[in-house]
Amino acid sequence: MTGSTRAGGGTRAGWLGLGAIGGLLLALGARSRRDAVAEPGGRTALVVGVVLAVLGLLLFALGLLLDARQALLSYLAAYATGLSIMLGALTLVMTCNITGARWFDAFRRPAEAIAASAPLFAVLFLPLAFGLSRVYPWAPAAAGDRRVWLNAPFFLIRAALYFIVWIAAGLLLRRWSLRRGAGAAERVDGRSRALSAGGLLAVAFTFSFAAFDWLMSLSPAWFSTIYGVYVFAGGFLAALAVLAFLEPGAVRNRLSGPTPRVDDYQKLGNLLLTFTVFWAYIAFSQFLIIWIADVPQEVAWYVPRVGGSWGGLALVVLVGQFALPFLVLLLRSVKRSPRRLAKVGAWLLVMHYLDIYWLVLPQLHPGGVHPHWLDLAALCAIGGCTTAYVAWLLGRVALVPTGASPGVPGGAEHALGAPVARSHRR
Amino acid sequence: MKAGVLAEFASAEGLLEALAVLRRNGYRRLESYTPYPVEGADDRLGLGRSRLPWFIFGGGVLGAILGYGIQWYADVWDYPQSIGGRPVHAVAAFIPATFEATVLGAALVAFFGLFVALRLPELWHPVFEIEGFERASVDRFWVGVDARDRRFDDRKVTGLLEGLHALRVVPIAEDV
Repeated sequence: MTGSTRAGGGTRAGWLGLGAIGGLLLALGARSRRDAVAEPGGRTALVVGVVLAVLGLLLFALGLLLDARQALLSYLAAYATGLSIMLGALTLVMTCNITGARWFDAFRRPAEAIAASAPLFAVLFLPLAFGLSRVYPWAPAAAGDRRVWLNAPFFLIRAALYFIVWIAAGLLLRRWSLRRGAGAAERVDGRSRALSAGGLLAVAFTFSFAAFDWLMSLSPAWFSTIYGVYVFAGGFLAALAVLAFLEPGAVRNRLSGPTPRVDDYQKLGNLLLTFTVFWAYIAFSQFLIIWIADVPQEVAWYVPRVGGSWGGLALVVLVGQFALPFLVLLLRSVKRSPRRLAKVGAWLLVMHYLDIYWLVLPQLHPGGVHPHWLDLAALCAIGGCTTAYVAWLLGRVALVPTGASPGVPGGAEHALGAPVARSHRR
Repeated sequence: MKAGVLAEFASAEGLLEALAVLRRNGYRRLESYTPYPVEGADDRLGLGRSRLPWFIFGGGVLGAILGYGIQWYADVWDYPQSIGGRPVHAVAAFIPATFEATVLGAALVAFFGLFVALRLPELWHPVFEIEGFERASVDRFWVGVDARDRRFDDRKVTGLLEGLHALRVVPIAEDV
């Protein structure tokens, strides 16, 4: 009896703390170091995002009153999709900071803005923190020794820890990068590189454990150690897809940094190809190991997901997120065409959502796929909020830094697409 | 190329400029020897896309079919056994070996296809007779004009290359 009240009190304190930290960092993240530049394209995205967000959040609030569990699980699917993309972008920025990939310069600004949207996700986590006991079967009364890990206060403390890591990494990397501009000889300075190296390790662990906590614990009796990597693989792929999808529009509206060259798109396309394969590899590894061992406790998670209409959806995701994009991305002509690559990106984003949907919603409808208007509402809410937030971040900085001097890699020379004397590009 | 004129340059920029000038002067059968892939050289050499990737893709598909087929033949057709009650035609269990066979098929075609495309092995080539040519794999950039070029004229080409500040211009011939 006392246990439940203590858990309830913990929940309240937890979300209050989270809210305070989130609000503070939201404001911090939005504070720009450069003068606002009016960008018509960015403003459209901002307006569309805000309208979608308001509409989606209103419908979601209505859904909470009508069917709280459906609303919260629909919300969780949309939230996890967005969050995994944000973390994928953060991983990408860090990786490119360490490797010094020059092709990434053209995609750096949008990627950094997405990676810096962690404060928004901390705020958007609140409905889940509120509705903990309705979302997770372990929250009202966890069984046996799993209680040590799966209890509301510890769950929220861990969530706070994850957000601290992501917010700090995303904001600092973006700030240092913006402060640097293109006036400096080196695009990535030592501290960015150091933070990226350490941060990759921290993000790898927090991402994986967040996947365990927020998605895998929907079925508390089941576990798979590769699960975190599975969500990461999908999220990283989707982050690349967002960049591919965003870039032609961003270039048109001068929201991106230096204009990407055809070779840069090809490199993005190559990474997309790599990560469709990586995702399929991880997904298949998990499936094969569980299928071949055939232990009832492990198989229980797959039984509703590969049978009936959920099995159909699994097939759609397998073909749509692996087989089809794999074949299409083998074609050089697709990778070298920004418009075609944008289409592939849009397609992969839909598939990533369906992938997460397939992870989450069988928990509520084990009998079969059960599309609900709240799925759309939650998608609007999350998609609208993130679009508006990222467009706002992008619109507030001069994206082709005014101090750029010709001859500096990534500066004005790059913007003109000068083809000569770049033989050492990686 | 087995006969023609070769010119040595100290930098990739020199090589790119030479290729551009030669193209402008109507030469089409051009050749380059560089220590690393020089970006932009492909276009100036007038090289089209290699067809090898399509053959490699075919090799991969063939490998996949053979890999899957041999498992199906052994486990389903020729000697079916019940292993822990799993289906005889266990698609999931067939995938890893099929994947490996796909990679093997593609890799074999890539490796031997490249040999065929490059006309290897070739134990002797006229460029080996040039003193110091081995620096093409260290720090020197060589441009060649093939004698089979329609516009090829020994003296004109030599004069043109010397005007481009080549370190030296050397003629090569098939019969030494």
